Order: sequence, then structure tokens, then C-alpha cells
Amino acid sequence: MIFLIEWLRRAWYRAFFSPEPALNLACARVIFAAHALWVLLSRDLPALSALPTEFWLGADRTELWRYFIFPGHPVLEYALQTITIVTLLLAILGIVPRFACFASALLLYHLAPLETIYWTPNPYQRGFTVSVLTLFTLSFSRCGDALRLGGSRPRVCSPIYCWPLRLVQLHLAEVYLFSGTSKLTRVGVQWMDPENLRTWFLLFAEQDQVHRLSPLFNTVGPWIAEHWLLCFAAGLFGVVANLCFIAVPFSRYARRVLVPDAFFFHIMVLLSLNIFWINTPQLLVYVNWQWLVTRLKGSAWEAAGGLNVWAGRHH
Amino acid sequence: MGTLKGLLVLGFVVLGLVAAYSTNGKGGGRRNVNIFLVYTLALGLGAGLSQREVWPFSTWPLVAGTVLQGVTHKRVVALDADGREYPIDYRAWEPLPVDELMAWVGRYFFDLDRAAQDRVAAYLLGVIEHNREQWSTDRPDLHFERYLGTLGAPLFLGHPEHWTQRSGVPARSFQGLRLYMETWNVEERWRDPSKVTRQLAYEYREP
Repeated sequence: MIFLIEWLRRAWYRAFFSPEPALNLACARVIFAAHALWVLLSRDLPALSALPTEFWLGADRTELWRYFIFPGHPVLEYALQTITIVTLLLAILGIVPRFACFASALLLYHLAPLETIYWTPNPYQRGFTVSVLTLFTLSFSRCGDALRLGGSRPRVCSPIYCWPLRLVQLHLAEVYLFSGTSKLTRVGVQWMDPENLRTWFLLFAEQDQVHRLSPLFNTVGPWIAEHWLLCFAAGLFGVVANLCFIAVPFSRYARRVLVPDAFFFHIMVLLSLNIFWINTPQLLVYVNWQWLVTRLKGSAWEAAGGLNVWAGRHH
Repeated sequence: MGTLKGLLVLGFVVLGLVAAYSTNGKGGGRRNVNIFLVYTLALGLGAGLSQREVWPFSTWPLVAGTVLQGVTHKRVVALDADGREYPIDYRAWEPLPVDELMAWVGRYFFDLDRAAQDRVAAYLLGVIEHNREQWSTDRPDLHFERYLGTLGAPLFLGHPEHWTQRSGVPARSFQGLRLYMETWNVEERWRDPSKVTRQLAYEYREP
């Protein structure tokens, strides 16, 4: 028992308090702030505050309070949206980054539910769910020690950059985990039945109201539906790969396999079901940016060295 | 329930601030970080595994269901003065995302009394007619593409662009709406696309 507790303690500290470069955490800040800004500028959330009274009749009062939503004030909402755009830009540029992340998260916690609150208080998969969690988490950490205006980043790795990065990566990994577990808890293993997958593919192909224009989008789904083995693989993929994704924040081997795999999965879902997975760019948070920069700098240095040698031969 | 969920999220924020404050000095504060981590993991896993959302700790039930062989979907069409039907471009509903609108219609519209339904329909007709007018004069009021144009984040589901890629913008003004319920058997319709039953659920004409 003592051995197990000690093992768990070591595993916990290895997972959350290993030395980590500041750059990777700062990159997480830039990725999530830029993503949130991209989605925010692609919607018109404040306008929904002006929906007629009838739309709000079904909305639970306590849910409205929970998000500080008081319908009928679009001008105020536009002002808040403008402030959010400014704070997200500050977070991207690394100007007062912790405050900017906190303010952005708080404002998005209020603005994001406007998109759905009149029929559901759970605005997941609209683009802000992971961003709100990660921006809050980043604001609690030293996410501004690198990639900031007017400062140089620390050279040494430190555990203070590890736990927030790992938690941010976990917030995103949980999306995949719950996408897998929800299929099992709501339906059971029969969700993976190739017949169920076939019906999903056919249903999306039959709905002319959810077609994208290129014929490529509307031929892949029916093609998969016609092949039992592909439906079986899709079912297995939809549950097993999603469940395994929870290993990604903790294992570099899992990252190397499951992150490209998730990217491929999103492309297939887009082509077969016309579903665009808006969180796809956030997968960049699993890249080891410090390693990449070091490697690129090394290549540049080698190239520069090569030039010097070449130049030396001519002098 | 909303209050409890709000308090749980508040706990996440407060513990995070405590962790941030305690780690501001040199060293120390790891205990508070651990408390914050355990609370966040417990809340996230609790919400996801129990399928009870505490947004932004969500449940992510993506395509987590079985499709019944018989399915029913809504379709809204616009009417001109002669009662001729037109498909509605999904961008004509903006600033309302069309999928959120249809979800609201499915959940709440038929609970409203007839007068309230007509007020909603009049509002929606005003939105799509305004957008039709803008589009027909080549000055579309694109709420979602206002800042980033075509580089904006796409919607979760793709929808056909009737007014730019297909039939074009209708020349005649919209003066009514019809809401149909379309029912079909998935396998039957796959073999024969015409196997769809359409039932008129609601109609509105501008007075």
C-alpha cells in the first residue's frame, strides 16, 4: 500500500512538476487566445441579446444568472465584445498576459452562452468551451515569461511552467475522452455496431440541409456506409482512439501517434458527416515548441556554418 | 441547479487565484497548486463521466446516440405573395445560427400559443426578408463574415449556399413562412430518395 502511494506521488509529480520550458506555456497562451479571437470574430454573439421575448421564455432564470446574462442589452454586449477583442490581442502579444487571459476568460464565460442559452445552457462545441478553461488556467500561471513584448524568455526549464501546460493539455484531451465515454454511457458498446455507424453516415448524406457544396463532402460518407469493415473501423475509432487520447498530455509516444490520428479523424468526419471540428487548431498545444525552435536554430546555425566554410574556401 | 453549477465554476476560479497568489513568491505554494489541480480534475472528470455539464466543464456527447430508422427533421421555407415556396439560405437567418434556431424551434416553438408563434414568425420573416433585400442589391449584411470574410470559423454543420451557389437570390419579396416536418426511414430513403413524408406543422402569412 505504501509502495502504491509512493508510486502515485512520484507519478503525480512527474506529470505536473517536471521541468518545462517557458516557451511551451507561452505558445499555449498564444494558441488559445488566437483561437478564441478567431471564433469570436466569426460570430455575432451580442446581436442575440436582442432576440424577442418569446425566445427567452424557456431559458432557466438561474442559468441566465450563472452566466450574468440579462437579455435585451445588445449595446452593452457589443461593448463587452470589444473589450474581449482587446484583451485577447493583449494576451496574444504578451502585454499584461495574465490579466489579459483572466479578463478574456471571464468575458467569454459570459459571451459564449449567448449563442445557445435560449435553448440550452451548455454551449459546447461552439468554440469557446476549452478556451474559457485554458485562459483561466493560463492566467493562474506564469504564462507571460516568454513570447511577450519587451522581454527575453528564461533559458532554464522549471516546474512552474509544467503544471499549467499539462492542465491546459488535459482540458483539451478530456474533450476526446468524454466523446468516447459518452457513447458508452448513453448507448453502450452497441454504439460501435457497424449498423449504427452505417445509419449515421446515411442519415447525414440524406439531409440536404446539411450538405456542403463540394461533391467530395457528400460521397465519402455513403461510400464508408456501403462497407461493413469501414463502418466497424469507424465505430472502433470513435470510441477506442478517443478513450486513449487521455494519455496524450502525459506520453510523448501517445502524442506522436494520437495527435496526427486525431487530425486525420477530424478530416474524415468533415468529409463524411459535414461536421467541422472547430477545436482542431488547438491540437497545436501538444507540439513541443522549444524542441522545434532549438532544432530549427540548429539547422540555421549549421547552414550558416556551411556558408562560412564555403566562404572560407574562397578567401 | 444553475446556481450550484455557477458556484462550482467559481470554486475553480477562486482556487486558481489562490494557487496563482501562493506561487508568486519564490518557491512554495505547491500545496495550493495541488489542491487546485485535484479540484479541477475532479470537476472535469465528474462532469464528463456523469454526463452532467457544469459549463465550461462540459460533457461532449458527440454523435453519442443511435439513429432510429424513422427520423423527423424540420424544414422552413419562405413564401412570396402567391404562396410560392423558396429554400432559405442558411446565412439569411444571421445573426441567428440556423442550427441553434432549429433546435429552439424543436424544443419551445410549439409550446407557445398561436399569437406568440406568430410574433416569432413575424420577427424571423423580417430577418430573412431584410437579408434577401440586402443580398439582392449585392450588399449582403454578413454577420459572421464581417471581420474575417471567408477565413472565419465555419459553423459546426455545413449548409448549402442557396443564394450564391444554387438558385440565386429570389427577386420577389418574402411574405410568409412554412414549417414542415419531414419524416423518412433511413434505409428506405437511401434506396429511393423520394421516400419522404412532408407534413405542414405551421404557416405564417404577413397580414
